[in-house]
Amino acid sequence: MKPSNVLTLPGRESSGPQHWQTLWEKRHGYLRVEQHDWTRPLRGDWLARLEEMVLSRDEPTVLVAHSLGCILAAAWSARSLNTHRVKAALLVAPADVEQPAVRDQLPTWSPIDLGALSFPSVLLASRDDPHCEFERARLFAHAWGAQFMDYGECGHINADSGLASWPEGHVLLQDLMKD
Amino acid sequence: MAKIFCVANQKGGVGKTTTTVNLAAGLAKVGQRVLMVDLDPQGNATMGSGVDKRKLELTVYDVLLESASATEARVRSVKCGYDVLGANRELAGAEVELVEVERRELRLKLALAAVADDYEFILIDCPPSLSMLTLNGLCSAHGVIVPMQCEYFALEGLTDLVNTIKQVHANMNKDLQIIGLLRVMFDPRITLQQQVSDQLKAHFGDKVFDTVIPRNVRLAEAPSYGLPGVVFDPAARGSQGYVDFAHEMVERIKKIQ
Repeated sequence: MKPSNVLTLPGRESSGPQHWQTLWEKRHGYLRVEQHDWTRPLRGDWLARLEEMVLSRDEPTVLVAHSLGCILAAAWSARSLNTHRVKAALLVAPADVEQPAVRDQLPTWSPIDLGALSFPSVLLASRDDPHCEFERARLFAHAWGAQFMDYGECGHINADSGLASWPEGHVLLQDLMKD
Repeated sequence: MAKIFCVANQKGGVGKTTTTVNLAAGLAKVGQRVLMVDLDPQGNATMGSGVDKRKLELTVYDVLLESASATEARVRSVKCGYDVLGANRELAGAEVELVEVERRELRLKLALAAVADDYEFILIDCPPSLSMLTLNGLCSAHGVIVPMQCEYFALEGLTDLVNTIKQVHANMNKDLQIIGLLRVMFDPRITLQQQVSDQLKAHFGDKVFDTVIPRNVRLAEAPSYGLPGVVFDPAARGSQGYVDFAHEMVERIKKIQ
């Protein structure tokens, strides 16, 4: 599939220059779903941007979501009539926006949609993720019908985790990209 | 019971938002109780009414999703003298979120019915595209106010809007009609503008409002201060134009009633 049909969905504050999502975009030509406001994420706004980007692609896409991007993918799947245009999703370190402290900051993101996703997916969770308890991530994977992968102790699976371009994660993505 | 009007034109940049907030402020100034509904995710009418869209806890989005009532979501713009049902970019999500909902085009109408007795006028600022949001506005309204610049392409977009209004009238809202065309940003020194204005009058007759809003820099400056021109600089010619227009609207709705 064309690299420009692989869409990356970063979390809040977007992904910085050393984040594997950014490095994959640079190396492979994947496309970021750029949000209007990364610091104050509004779910409706983010949903509309994702819908717009999926519809702008010339063939079904693969979503590569991290953190809040995973919650966005689930929210979008629960609402859009265009989920057939997504082939698969890689969901990495979902952010638990129902935690009380986060819920206060991002009220429109709760409750998290827990319906089965309309496309195949793989969810990777870390045992020491500060943004989501491991068992909560397992619950999300179960609810979304995603294949669950225990990624050990790897923090929020981001630039701070020392993954660099994260080739291991990219192998998983390539599997999802296959027909 | 309020009369509800959409300010709409499918051509962008014609002064829809300026007309909505200044007419709202003008009507408030002449003693009318007004609710301004911002149906554009850009939220310019909200900001232009002195309400910070980033600080709103509830918006018209929550109303459309039925997670809040219009009573809960409206806020008072003290400076402007009218109530605001505000919007921010969250509203763009309604297009996705309501797509499978039955009677989704009637969500705003039902919500406004609950507050209609609190106002004489409800003004709705519609986005330029023909979207589900615009459709909600048109299904809620008794009429449409169409701001137009008297330029060569003035009628471009009007045909689309008229067709849309006809369809909504035929299928969803028997009350809907074009209340009138409002000539805005008018400069009588420009011969072409005068000619187009005359053509509009010849074509549309009574459907063209008598009031003409002159091109006025104070109206253009006002949004950067978060206010309608009518409040920002009441003495400006443009502001006075909108107060005149408010008077004309008050008279015109008597005929509708």
